[in-house]
Amino acid sequence: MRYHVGHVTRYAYDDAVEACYNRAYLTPRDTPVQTVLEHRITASPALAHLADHLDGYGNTATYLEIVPGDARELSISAESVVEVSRVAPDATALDRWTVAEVAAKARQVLDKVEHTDFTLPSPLAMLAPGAYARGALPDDSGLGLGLTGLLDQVASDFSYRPGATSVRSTLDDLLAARAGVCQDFAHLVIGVLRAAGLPARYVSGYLETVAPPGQPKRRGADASHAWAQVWTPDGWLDLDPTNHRFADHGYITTAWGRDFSDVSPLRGIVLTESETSTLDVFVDVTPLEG
Amino acid sequence: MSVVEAYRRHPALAHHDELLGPAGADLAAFCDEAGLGGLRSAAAEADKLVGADGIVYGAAASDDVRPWRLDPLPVVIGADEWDQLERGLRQRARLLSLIHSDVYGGQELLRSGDLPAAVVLGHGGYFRGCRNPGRLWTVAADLGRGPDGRWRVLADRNEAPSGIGYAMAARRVVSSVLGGLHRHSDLRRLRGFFHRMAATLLAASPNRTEEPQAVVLSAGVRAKTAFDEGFLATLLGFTLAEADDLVTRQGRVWLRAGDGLNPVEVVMRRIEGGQADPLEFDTESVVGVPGLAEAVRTGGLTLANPLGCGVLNSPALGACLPRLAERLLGETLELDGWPTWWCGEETSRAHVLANLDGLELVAVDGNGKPVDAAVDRRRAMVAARPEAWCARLPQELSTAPVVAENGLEPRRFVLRAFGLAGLDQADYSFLPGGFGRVAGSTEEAFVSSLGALAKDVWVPRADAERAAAPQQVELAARPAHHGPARVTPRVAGTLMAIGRFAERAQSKARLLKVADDLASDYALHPLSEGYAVLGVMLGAVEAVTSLSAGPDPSAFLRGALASEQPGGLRYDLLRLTANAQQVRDVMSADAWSVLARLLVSDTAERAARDLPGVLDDVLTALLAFSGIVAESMVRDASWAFLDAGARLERARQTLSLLQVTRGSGPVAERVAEAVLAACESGITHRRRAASGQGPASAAASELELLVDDAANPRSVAHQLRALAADLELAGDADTAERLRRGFVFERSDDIDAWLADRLAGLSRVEAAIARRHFSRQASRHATWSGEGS
Repeated sequence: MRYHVGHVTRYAYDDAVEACYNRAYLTPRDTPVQTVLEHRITASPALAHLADHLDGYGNTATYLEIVPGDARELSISAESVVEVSRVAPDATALDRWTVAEVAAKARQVLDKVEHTDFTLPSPLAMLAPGAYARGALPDDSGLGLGLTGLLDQVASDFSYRPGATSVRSTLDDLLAARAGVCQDFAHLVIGVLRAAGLPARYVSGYLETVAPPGQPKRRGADASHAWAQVWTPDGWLDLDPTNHRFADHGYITTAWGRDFSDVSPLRGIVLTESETSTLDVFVDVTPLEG
Repeated sequence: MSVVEAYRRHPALAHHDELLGPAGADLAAFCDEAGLGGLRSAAAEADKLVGADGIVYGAAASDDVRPWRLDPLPVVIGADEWDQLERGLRQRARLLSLIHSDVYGGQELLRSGDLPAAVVLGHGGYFRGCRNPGRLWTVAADLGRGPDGRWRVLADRNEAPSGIGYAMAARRVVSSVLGGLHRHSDLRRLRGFFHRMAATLLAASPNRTEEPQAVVLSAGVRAKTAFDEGFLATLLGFTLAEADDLVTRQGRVWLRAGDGLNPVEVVMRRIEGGQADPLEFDTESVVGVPGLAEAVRTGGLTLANPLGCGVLNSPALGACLPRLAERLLGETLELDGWPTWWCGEETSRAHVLANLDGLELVAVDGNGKPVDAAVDRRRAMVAARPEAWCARLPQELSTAPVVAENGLEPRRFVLRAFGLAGLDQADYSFLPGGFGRVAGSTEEAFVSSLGALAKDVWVPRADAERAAAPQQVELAARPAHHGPARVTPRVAGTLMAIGRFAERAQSKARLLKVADDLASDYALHPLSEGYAVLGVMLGAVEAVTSLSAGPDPSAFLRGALASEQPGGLRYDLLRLTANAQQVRDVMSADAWSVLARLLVSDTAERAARDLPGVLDDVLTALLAFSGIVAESMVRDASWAFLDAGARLERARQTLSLLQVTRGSGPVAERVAEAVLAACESGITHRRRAASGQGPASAAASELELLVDDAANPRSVAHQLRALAADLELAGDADTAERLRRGFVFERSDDIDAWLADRLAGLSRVEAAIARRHFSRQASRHATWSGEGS
C-alpha cells in the first residue's frame, strides 16, 4: 500500500518568539517492508536552518532552527509518501519456538550491542521485577501464544485515555493510573518483553487514519503513533498494544529506539517571554491510488 | 612535647599519614619549628589571603557564597613517588581515551565482549546521540592511598571536574604563607599546565583561525564552584561565558558580544554533559546551550570534554580496566582502582553476594556514595538489577594533618589529579600534584564535598632535576587574552552594576559623613540653625536609604551604614562584591583585597564607637577601588561599561540630593554648603568665591557647580559628557550622540520640575543603554509533543 503522510505541529504564543530550536524524528525510514518515496520538512516562518544526520539506530534525526522575528505562531510540517508491504504475522506459526528459546537464540544470533541495548531496561521502559504481567510470558509458552496473551492482558487491564499521562511518564505512573496512550502501552509491553529476556524496541510512526471497512476505528490515528517490536528468529515483529493487534501494512515506521526518549517526533526549545502556549498536532495518513 | 610528636600519637591517625612519611620530613621540621602558635598564625594568614583574593565557594544564586577553606599545610609527595603515580595516571588516561574512541566509534570492545556491553549501554552517562564526539581532551581522577601505602583511583572524574582553579589558588596562598619553606622546597610549578591546556585547545579549534574565540562555559551564579570556573578562564585566557552569552545560529555557536555574534570555536565546558544541551538531554536545563551537540556534530566546535564522556566514570568500567589494559595496550595496569566488583558479571556477583557484609554497594550511575541499607535490602537491590551495581571494599584512606585549635588533627585525604591530552600524540601530561581535600572532621571516612577543607599538594623537584636544569622562570602572570576582548550583554550589565554600586556606596558614605558631622555638633542643640540643617540632611539620608530616622540621629546613621537591606550602605558593598565575583576574569587581581577590606565583619561594632573612622575606611577603600579601575583596566568596552555605571549613578545621586534638600527656607545657605560638601565640591565653591569667579553664596552656586559646570568633575554635565565618551568606546555612537543632543541644560524657572525632568531623562538614558547592550535572551520554554495523545 502507498500512503501520503502529513504531520503538522503548530505552536502558538502570546508574545514574539525570538528563536525556536527543534530536534525531530519526522522522516520515515526504509525498512525491509517499507520504502520512502518522497519526503520534505517545511516550516512557517521559513526554516533558518535544517540538518539531518543518521543516529546510532539508523534513523534520520533532524536539527531545525526557526528565527521568526516577530511571529507568535510557528508551524513545522513533514510530508512523506511511503510504500508499505508489511503483513500481519500468523501468530500460531510463532508458536514453533518457546519464549525461552527465542531469548536464548537472541543472545546467540544478535550482535552484542544490539542485544544488550534492547534487552536492558531503558529510562522510560523500566519495569520493576514482578510489577506487571508476570504470568503473561512464561518461559515455556509458545511465542505466538505469549504475545497474544500479553496483548489481551494489556487490553483488559488498561484504558486508552489521552491526557492520563505525559511525555515524561514512567511505567510506575501508568500502572498507578491504569490508563494512558500509545507510548505508555508500548513502553509497558517493551518492559514485559525485556524482563522475559526478549529484545524489544520502541517504534515511532503513523497509523492509517481511516480503518478499512469492517474494522473498528483506530486509536491514535490522528496523531503520531507508537508501538513495540520484539525480536524473533524471523526478524523484528511489530505489535500494537493500543489497538490490541499485530501491525500490518497500515503502519508507517518513522524511527525506532529503546523508548520514546530516543526517538520522540519533535522536541524543542522556544525562546519567548510568552506566558501561555498551545501546541497542536495534526496527522493525516491517506492511502494513495495505484 | 613537640607539635609533630603529639600528632604522631593522635588516636585517629590512619595506617599511613602524609606528614609522617619521608616526603613530609621538611614540613614536619617546619611544623615543630613554628610550634602551635606559628601554625595557628599561618592558618589565620591563609584565611586572610583567601579573603583578600576573594576566593569563595558556593552558589551566588542560592545565596550561600562563603570564603573558601584552605589548610596552610601542604601535602608533600616525593618526586619519585609522583613520577610513578603519574606514569600510572598517564597509562590510565591513554587507556580511557582508547575506550572512549571505541565505545563512541566502532564498538569493537563491546562486540568482542572485552568490555561487557551492559557496562557502557547501561550507564546513564553514555549518550547514544554523540557518535564520534572528538578526543578526550582532559582527564581527572580522585586518588587515595590505601593501607598498603599505594595510591589507588577512587573514582574517575572525566565529565567537567572542578578543582583545577582551586589548586592554583591554593598554591598562591600557601606559597605566600609558607614563603621560606616554599622557596627552599623548589617545587614543580603548576602554571605551565594551564599554558599547555590553552595552547592545546586553541590549536584544536576546528577552523584553525588565527585567534579562535575560546570560552569556558560556566553555570555562573548557579555554580558552587563559580570561582574555580572563573579562575580557570583567567588562567587559560578564555572568555568566561554562561548560557545567556552564547547563542546557536545555523547550527553553530556564537558569542553575543558588542552588537554582533562572534563564532565560538572552542568550548571548555564546566557544566555536566546532561545539562549541556536542553535540546538533546535534560530539557529543563537552563545552564546549557540548545544546539551545542549539533554544533559539535557538524564539526564547527571543539568541545572539552566531549559530550558523553561521563560513561568513563562508571565504577563498573573501572573494574574492567586491568583486562582492557592487557587487551588494548598489552600492558599490566600500573595504577589500580580501589578494589571493586561489578555485579553484572556472574563470578563478581557471586563474590559480592557471598561477602556483602564487608562490602559497600555503590550505583554505577551514582555519586560514589555507598548505599546505606541493611545487607538483605542491598542483596535484593543487586538481584533486581545486577548491572546497575558495584561493590567495593570500604575505603581506608591515609590521613594528613590540619591545623586545629589544640594542635594538628588527622583527616582522611583525597587527591584529585588533572591530565591533558597531547596535541599530536596519544599521551597525556598531568598537573604536578593536583587538588587536595580532606574530610570535614577527624571522624569522617569519606571525603565528599568539594567545599571541604582544601590542601595544596607539593611535588618538590628531584635532585637530578635541579642539577640538570635551573628552575624555569615563571611565565607572565596571565596569558594574553586570546582573541579580541568581547563584552557580552551579561558582562556589560554586571560591569555597569559594579560601577553603579561603587559610586552609590561612595556618595552614600560622603552623605553619611556630612550628616554625622552635623549630628555630633548639633544633635543636642535643638534651637540652633545647625540642628535644622541636620534635619534636612537626615531627610536626605532617609530619601537615599529608604530608612526612617528615629529620635537618635547617630543610631540612624549607623543603621544606614550597616543595613543589608536595599538602601543600606552595606547592601551596596555586598552587591558590588557579588557582581565583581561574577566577572572575575575581567577584574584586576588587586581589586579583591580592596573589596575584602570593604566587607570586614566587625563594621557594626566599630561603628558604634567610631562612625567617622569606619566611614573614612569605607571611603578610602572605595577610592582605592576606583583607583585600581582607573589605573589597571585597559580602556576598552569593559572599562567603558564600568565607568558608565559610575557616571550615571553620580549624576543621579547629585540630582536627587539637590531635589530633596531644596526649599530649606532660612537655612538654605547652610544646607547648600552641606550638599556641596557631600558632593565633594565644597572646596571648589570656596575657592571660586574667594577669587571672584563664582557667587559667594553656596545656595547661589550649587546648581551651577553641581549641575551645569562641565569643568567640575563632580557635576552632572561632566558625568554626561563622560558617559557619552564611554558609550562611544563601547561602540555605541548612536546613543552617545542622542545623549549629547537630547540632554539640554537650559534651566527653566521651575527648578523642582526641572530637576525631576533631568532625573527622568537619566532613567530614559539608562533604559536605552540596557535595551541596547544588556538584553538577555528570552526565557526558554521546552516543548515536547507526545504520541497518540
